Amino acid sequence: MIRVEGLTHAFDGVPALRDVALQVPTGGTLGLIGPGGAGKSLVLKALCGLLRPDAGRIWLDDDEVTALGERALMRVRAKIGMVFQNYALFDYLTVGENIGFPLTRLGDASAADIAAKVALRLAQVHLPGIEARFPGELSGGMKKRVCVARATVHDPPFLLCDDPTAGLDPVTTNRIFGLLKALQAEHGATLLIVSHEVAALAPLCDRFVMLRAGQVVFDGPPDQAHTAEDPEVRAFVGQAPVFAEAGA
Amino acid sequence: MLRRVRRQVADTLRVGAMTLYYLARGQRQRGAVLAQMFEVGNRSVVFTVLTLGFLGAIITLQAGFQALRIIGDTSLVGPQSLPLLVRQLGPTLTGLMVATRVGTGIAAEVGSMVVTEQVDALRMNNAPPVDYLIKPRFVACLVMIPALTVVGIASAFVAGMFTAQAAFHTQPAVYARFDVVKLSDLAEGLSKAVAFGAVIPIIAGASGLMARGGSAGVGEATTRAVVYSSLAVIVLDFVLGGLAFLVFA
Repeated sequence: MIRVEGLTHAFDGVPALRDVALQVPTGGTLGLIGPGGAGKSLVLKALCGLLRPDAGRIWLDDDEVTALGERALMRVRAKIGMVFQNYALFDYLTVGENIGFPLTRLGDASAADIAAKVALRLAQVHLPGIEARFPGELSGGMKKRVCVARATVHDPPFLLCDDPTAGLDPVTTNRIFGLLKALQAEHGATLLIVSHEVAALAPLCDRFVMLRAGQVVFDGPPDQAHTAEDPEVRAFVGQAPVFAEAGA
Repeated sequence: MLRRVRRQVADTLRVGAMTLYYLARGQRQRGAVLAQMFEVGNRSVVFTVLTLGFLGAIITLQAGFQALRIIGDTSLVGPQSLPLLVRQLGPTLTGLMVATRVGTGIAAEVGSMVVTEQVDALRMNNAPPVDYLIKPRFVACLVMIPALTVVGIASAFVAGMFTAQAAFHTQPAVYARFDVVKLSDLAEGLSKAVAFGAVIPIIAGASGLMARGGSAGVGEATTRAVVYSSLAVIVLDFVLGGLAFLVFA
């Protein structure tokens, strides 16, 4: 279970997160939506301890992330798979070494086991046999799928995805969302996805949380977002033209 | 400005302390130190040989002209320049060259990993950036900068010897007087080279880890790395030179 209470953070006095609260039950899927700069990626970074918030508390199961030191966080981070917004693939390592990296650092698996697991994950993301290629030789969609493979190769109980479909075509977007859902179903991971692809994301999620200027403005099932009181929430999920609302 | 310098110093000290900690307690990465030794050492050899070689030739020419003008004899140029090369110019100029070539490389590589979230990905996978990125570079520089210093001094000396022969007809046997180099000269030169090998990767690594934003942030980190590394080389040269004077005088 993921639980966030009163998450607040500012950069040089400029508020970035204001009293954010959200909850994702074990095995559940939450879509974190909102305009650019709303603080979605910051929430994800705070969840895995990459950002120390000014205030607020975060729990991943029984571990209070916000109360842990860097060494204790290492243990918690081993339970998280993270798909980064900008791929974050190690450009000096091959695709195979990238995907196997969590296994080499987080466990004591043999080289043969790692190679087998990497090959299996690459097959699952429909990229078989590209272990020897480097990230620089891949397209954006392929890099995202390699990111998903790396984030899930150690079967983490928590999967955090920061805009996993940014800049991708609709077919690849649906393929990546389908892949995340399939991998989640396989291991029962708790999934939190940040995305702007609201229509494609909705069928995957139990709930949507929408952030605006660092504040939660909507928290509920995706279908309720279409009838939300806040016109910007409705506009964001594609039910109201925001300019007409603003001009009304 | 003062705040930025203070932050750089604080971050450098923190990265230095963490590097020492991970030297004792960190994970071993097979081949990482060797790869960095190749990067720091082998790839800097030509640069060091050329720079120090020309410097040796320039010193000999200038000293020879002055010696000819004042005492009319160039036989002391070699014996006078060799201790100076061993104790002072060899380590310092090699340090400055490495700060320029290797320091900028470390800062740019680590900085670009920070801005593309690769450092965050390392932290997510039980690979603390100081342990994984800085420690191998620290060990490599600690070994290879003294080695490069020896190569640099040899280049400067040989180039100076040939220059003396060509310009002033000084025989190599007259120029090459190794007995003038004292143990204290060797100790001072070696301690400087080791000190430069320790501080350059730490300063450059800390600069890279401090990078923020995009490519502009990486550029700033690279500039900071070369400025502060070069400054550290000069200051350490002064401090260690003074200490050596107190100890060996």
